[in-house]
Amino acid sequence: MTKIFKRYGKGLGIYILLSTMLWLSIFIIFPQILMVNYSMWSYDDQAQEQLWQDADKLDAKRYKLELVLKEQPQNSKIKEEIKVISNKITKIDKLSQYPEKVYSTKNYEYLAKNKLHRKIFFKTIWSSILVTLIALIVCYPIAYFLAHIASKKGKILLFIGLIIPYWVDELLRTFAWFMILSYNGIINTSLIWMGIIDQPIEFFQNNSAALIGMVYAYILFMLFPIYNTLETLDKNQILAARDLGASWLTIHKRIIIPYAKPGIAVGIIFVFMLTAGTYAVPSILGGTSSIWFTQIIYSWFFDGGNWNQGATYGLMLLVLCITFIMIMLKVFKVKLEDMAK
Amino acid sequence: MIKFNSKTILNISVKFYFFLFFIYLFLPLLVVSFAAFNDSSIPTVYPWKGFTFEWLIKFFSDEALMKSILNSLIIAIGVVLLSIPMGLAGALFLLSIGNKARNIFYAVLVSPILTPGVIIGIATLVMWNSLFEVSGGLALTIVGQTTFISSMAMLLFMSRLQKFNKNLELAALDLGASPTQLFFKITLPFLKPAIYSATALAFLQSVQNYNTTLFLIGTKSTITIHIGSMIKLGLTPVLNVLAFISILLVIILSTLYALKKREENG
Repeated sequence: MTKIFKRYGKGLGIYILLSTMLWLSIFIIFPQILMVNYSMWSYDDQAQEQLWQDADKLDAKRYKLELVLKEQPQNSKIKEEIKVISNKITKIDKLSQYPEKVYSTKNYEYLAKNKLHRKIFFKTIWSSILVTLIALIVCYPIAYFLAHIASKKGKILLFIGLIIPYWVDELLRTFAWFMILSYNGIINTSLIWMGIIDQPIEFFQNNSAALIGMVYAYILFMLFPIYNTLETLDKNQILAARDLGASWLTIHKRIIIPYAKPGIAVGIIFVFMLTAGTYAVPSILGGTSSIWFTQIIYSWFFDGGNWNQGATYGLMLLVLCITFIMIMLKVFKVKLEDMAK
Repeated sequence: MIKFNSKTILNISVKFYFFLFFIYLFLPLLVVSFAAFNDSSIPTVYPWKGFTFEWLIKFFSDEALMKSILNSLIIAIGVVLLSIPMGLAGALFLLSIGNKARNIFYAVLVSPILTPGVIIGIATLVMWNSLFEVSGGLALTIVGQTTFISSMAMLLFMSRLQKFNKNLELAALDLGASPTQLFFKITLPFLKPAIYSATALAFLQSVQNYNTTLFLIGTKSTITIHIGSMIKLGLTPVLNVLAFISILLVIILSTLYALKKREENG
């Protein structure tokens, strides 16, 4: 800590410390802690129900007393009693407006017991793995050839060609596939025209459109990290291996892939995380029968109004991503610190 | 002779593979752009009903759309103003603490990049709503986006700072510069290119963000939120005009970026 003040001076040192701590606490850690906290409690519905029932009973009693009062307007005893009951009712009303928070595993049990939601959660995992694998298989050769075979001039052109789709907004790119895959879209019209099918394929009714859209939306997040690591690979290593008689396959297995590991790991982590966490693609390209886990989270927050349940679902998604990242870092023997390069 | 042949085959198949890949990348963008000028009430390129500027005119007179673009710009400026100084502070902090502590702090400060945007949205909403009773809107969206955009800025600053020549620093100190002078006269000018690229990145990321914004924007709208609701309710080729214009902008920016990069690399 004193090193910071020594190196940057007092004023700047204080700024660096304060700013970093602020970011660390208010932006990163506290929100996550509160989300975890939210996932662990729920409003006590039963107690609230009981309160409402009590209020109803008191209300009925008051009504009866009011009828009696109408017949004997001078009875001060009844008047007093009505007043007491009215006070009780307003108290209960206030209480039932703020139902009690109860800490329990209820929210987690709900997800564990809900067959549909559980199925969608696992579908999210498998689909994300599938999308990641497709992206990896398609991108590896592209990244390799781009880094080692393309001429310098060609490289710049190819590079421009790659960053254009990368920088176009995700929603607009997904919208493009919406046009292509829709009922009267290009694919259906051309397939019918060619006589391959006679009824349009309803891509949106199953998961296929969403998967196609996800591969398209995130494929470049696989390409760039692999390309970046491969670009620094010394070409002489490949030439030496070839001179020593190594086959094409051995060169990739023993030299290129091990060297590209950090890039491959970053690509896999990003594509998986983006796919598992996407809301835009399934909401545009998915039909009513292909709901994504993020869509359930969204509806807990904004349609169902149960933030606690939503926070629980969100936390499960976060745990999934963290687990995946941990496994990948282990498998590829990469450290988090190496990833930034 | 055989060697030559296999090389040619490889060459041709590589070219064909690249060709297919680029068709795959660009065909959707072309389809979306062309439909902006088709005289049809729904976005489509087929059947082609004739060329029209109708949707281009409607685009510029769409008040809700213009307002959401303005909101996106306000949010992006807020995010840039917060995330650049914060990311820079984070980078300077990490580079001046011990190795063990650095690894831990690094993991935490980088974690927002590895967290799905939806989660950052939820966590930010839950905290500000339950502790300070702040509900969704432009300010909360700025906060949520800043969380992870600062991490991106920080990484850019760190990679630039790692190229920093330490001797410069030592020389300045030998000549009697104070640490503060050292920072403003030497370190900061050295960081200039990284500040520019971090600003551009922060701006782009903010304008294009959807997942985090979705949870934090409340009843307001941004450009991405507007696109999302347009696709679901009331789809017209105005959206294609928006796509066409943004693709055009990206093409110009990408070309400039690549040319500048070539200049830097010599």
